[in-house]
Amino acid sequence: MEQLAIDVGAVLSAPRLYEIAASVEAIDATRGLEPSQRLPEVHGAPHALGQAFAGLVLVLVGQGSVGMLLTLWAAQVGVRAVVAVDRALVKPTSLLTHPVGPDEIGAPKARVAGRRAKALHPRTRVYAFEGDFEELPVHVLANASCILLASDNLLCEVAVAQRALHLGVPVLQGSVHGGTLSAQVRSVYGGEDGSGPSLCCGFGPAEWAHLDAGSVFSCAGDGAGRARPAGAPTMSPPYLCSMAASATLLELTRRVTGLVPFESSAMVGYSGYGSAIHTARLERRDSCPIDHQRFARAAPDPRLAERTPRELLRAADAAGADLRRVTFRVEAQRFASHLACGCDLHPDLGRFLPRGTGKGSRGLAPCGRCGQPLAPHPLHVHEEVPAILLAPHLDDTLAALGVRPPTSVCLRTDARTTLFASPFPEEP
Amino acid sequence: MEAASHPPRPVGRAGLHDLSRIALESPYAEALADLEPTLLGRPAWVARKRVELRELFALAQLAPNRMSILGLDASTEIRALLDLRCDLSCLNPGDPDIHVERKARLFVRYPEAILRGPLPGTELVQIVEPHHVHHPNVGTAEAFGSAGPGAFASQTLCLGARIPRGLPLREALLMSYAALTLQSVQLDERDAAGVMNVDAARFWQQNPHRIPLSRETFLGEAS
Repeated sequence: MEQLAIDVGAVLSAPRLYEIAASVEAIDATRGLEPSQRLPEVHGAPHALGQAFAGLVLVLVGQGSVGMLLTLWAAQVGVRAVVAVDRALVKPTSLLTHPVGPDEIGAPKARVAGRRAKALHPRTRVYAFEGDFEELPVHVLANASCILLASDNLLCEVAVAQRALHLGVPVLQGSVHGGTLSAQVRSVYGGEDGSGPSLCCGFGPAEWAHLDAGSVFSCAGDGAGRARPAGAPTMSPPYLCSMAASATLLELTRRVTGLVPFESSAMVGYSGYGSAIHTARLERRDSCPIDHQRFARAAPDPRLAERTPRELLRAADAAGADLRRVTFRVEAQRFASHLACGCDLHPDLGRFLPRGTGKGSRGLAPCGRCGQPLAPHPLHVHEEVPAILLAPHLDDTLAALGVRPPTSVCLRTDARTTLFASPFPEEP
Repeated sequence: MEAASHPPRPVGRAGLHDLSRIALESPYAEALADLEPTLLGRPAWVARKRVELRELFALAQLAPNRMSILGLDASTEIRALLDLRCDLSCLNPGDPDIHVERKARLFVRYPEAILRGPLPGTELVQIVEPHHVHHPNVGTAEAFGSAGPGAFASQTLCLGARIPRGLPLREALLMSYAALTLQSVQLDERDAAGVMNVDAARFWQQNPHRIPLSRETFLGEAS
């Protein structure tokens, strides 16, 4: 029986974030099964393993030979929710390393991983995001307990590092190096104040050079604006990939059970070449080019779209702030303050428009003065909106200004940045 | 030793290498001063914007007949509306041949993300006017209206397979000039960078003798 996919990607231009529903067969087959039936009591751990896992919302970035295993195992141990992120499709060569079958060739990896995970543990909320990590809605990430990263794309790594630091989400990265039969996991957490390390703190000149040279953004049409690695595929046997996945989940286990705090940023490497294990502490590098600011976080708000800019200013302790020194950024939206036409004086618009869809000018009547078509004026379309532009709209709700839930709002003052986000996952 | 590796420049007219040293005159000095209190963001980004804006004004001062700044906002990212006097090819619907326009109105943005990594070549420059630009590296409004910072149906100019991390704004403008005049153009749709207008790429493949549209340098006669 075909599993159902429920679209929840209201904020995206394309419905690429969706929840995967369980099949009747999976529900029947797993009736009476509890992950805790196979989860041990970890000696000396302050928190029970099953209980610790049951509260986790995991974002799993990269659904390759390491990441897909992470998604399946996360469901098997009964985490609350997983979001499988990957924009790629299963290829014939995926059969060599991924837990996939021939009938899944051509299907999106995120969907394949999600369906398999949902079949193993239907009570875990399973989402697939068929897109780049950079496009993953902020409110999803803001509610994540941890990011498990298994991507070999440095651009993706930088994006994960930056967003994790801003939102205060720990990152565990599993990786392999085939030539030295090595598997490695890096655990980093910027901490409550962003003073901890990021994934990029360990980058040397070679990584930055590779980052600069190693990606191609094709303009050929479908992939406009998307990076793809220009190098060779990762060469590694599947059992080395599973070693990296195992090490990653073991490090997660140590942290969620309280054996070590998330602040304990470290690298653990296993070398099959020399049959050795090595560990190292990871520290912040002052010259790291990533912004180490940690955003203040408001509690998830299911009615966020019904709030007004003034209410958000008040909640961020910025009610009396100079609006010229405050900005708003609304997830996947741009604020168009004025329209363009043939006139010198451009008419006001004052609305948020979905980013990257071309919507907004559709349905607008031509300018009454010059008769030219109206479109948002390029100079007056803002992703990060100076609050002074919202001054006439401070008491309008975000919904009245064009924002649709679920969403998130980043409010930045000179003193701090505050994030307001819709909850995730939403109530079923 | 130092003198040997960096011989003194001949005294004379300032060039593009002198942008950072040119003293800004009125009205550019005042415009830069007016922008200063509006610059928002973390200190490193504000400092970078200050440098980029200064060079933008210096470029406009150095080449007043090539480039003029119509509008500028640098509160968050740098966003500029510019007129660039350059030859560029257009093809109106139904016309049998291209015609050459002499001026492009560009919308240019310079986001903070450029400090963190390479960006897509389509991220910085859009052609607001003229319409119907017929260029392999310019997206048609219909096909690529969704790209870029605005929801308006604009024409995106691709500056290459990637915009290098930290590329200065002035370089993006010089690259735009070279691209629009076809002094620098990518015609091969099989190239990894791709092309944005296949019809235009084929047209120019068949008309290589018309490339470039102008051999004038940025600081040439128009400046």
